[in-house]
Amino acid sequence: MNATRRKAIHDAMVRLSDGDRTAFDLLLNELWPIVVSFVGRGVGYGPDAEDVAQEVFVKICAKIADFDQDRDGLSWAFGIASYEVMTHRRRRQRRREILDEAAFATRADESVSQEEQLLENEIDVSLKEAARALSDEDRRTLELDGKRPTGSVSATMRKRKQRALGRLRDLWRNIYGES
Amino acid sequence: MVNRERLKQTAQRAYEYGRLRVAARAAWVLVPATVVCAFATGAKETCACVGALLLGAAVFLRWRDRMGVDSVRYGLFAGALPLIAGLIATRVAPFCAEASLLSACALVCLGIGVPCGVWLGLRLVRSAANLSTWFATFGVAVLAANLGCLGLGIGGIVGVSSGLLLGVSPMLTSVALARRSGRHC
Repeated sequence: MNATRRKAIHDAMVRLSDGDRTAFDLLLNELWPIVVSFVGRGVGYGPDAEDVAQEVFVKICAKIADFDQDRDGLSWAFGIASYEVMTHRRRRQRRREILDEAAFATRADESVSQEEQLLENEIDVSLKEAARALSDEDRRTLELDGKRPTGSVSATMRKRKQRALGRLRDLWRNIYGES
Repeated sequence: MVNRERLKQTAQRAYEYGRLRVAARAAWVLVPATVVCAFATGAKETCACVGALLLGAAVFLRWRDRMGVDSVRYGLFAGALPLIAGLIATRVAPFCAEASLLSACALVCLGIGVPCGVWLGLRLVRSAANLSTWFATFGVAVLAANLGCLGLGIGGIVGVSSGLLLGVSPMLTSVALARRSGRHC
């Protein structure tokens, strides 16, 4: 996603939180495809994905009056989407347990591993989202782009790594909340 | 496939409901203030009426847009001092309830209202508010101030309202004139 689109979404959110209802179409056009894609990645592309995406979009609109304009609008929206995806997964798991307890018991191991994999995938995607906001140097220090940092003394490197991790942790908290 | 039009309608409904929920938070301040005023002044029905009016105006303005949120904030700040002063005066000088329009009580209320009106005017000039925001903010300030002055009788009510108006009018007039001359130019 390019910076212009990100800014357009943020501006639409700011306008809506200010009470400018004319920004609604803009938000729908710009944010809706992103929400569908994000939710699709989280719950798997299927009939459920669009339902969850709708829930997410409606929740975003309901909470937009509380939107803190100093924060990035898209990251804020992703925070809500992540929470909804997790809730959907928990709901799905519970439903599965109720409907087919016996069958679930026989395939417990398999389903757990699938769940774990989905969770891991989502954490991976979320981490990449957060890491994108880090500077190039921090990404290199944390080896997030697969390259090892060059020319470093071990103590300096350790300190640099610690600082970069701190910044990543702050970004994560800003985007996805404390938990 | 998602029906975009239906999604838009649902999302807009949720948006308006969300704004209303946030706007209604004004009740956390205004309901206790009204209850305190009702018991302190003894004019329960009148306080309830003014309080309901103030709450209605605050929720509507805060729901409408950001300017409305600022109107309520500045209005309540400007009306807070006369409200508290009115409540104290009701306790200290209960005879003010029977005082006439040209009494010392009315003058004291006027004196409290003027600086609050001046502060309100300066605040609105700084925020480059439009005229409707000026009137909305002034309305909120007058209602909030009167909530505390209800126990001081007609002298208190008229005094504090006139004080606010006197304080705010120079700035309001200059802004209105500047807008007018700007439009003519």
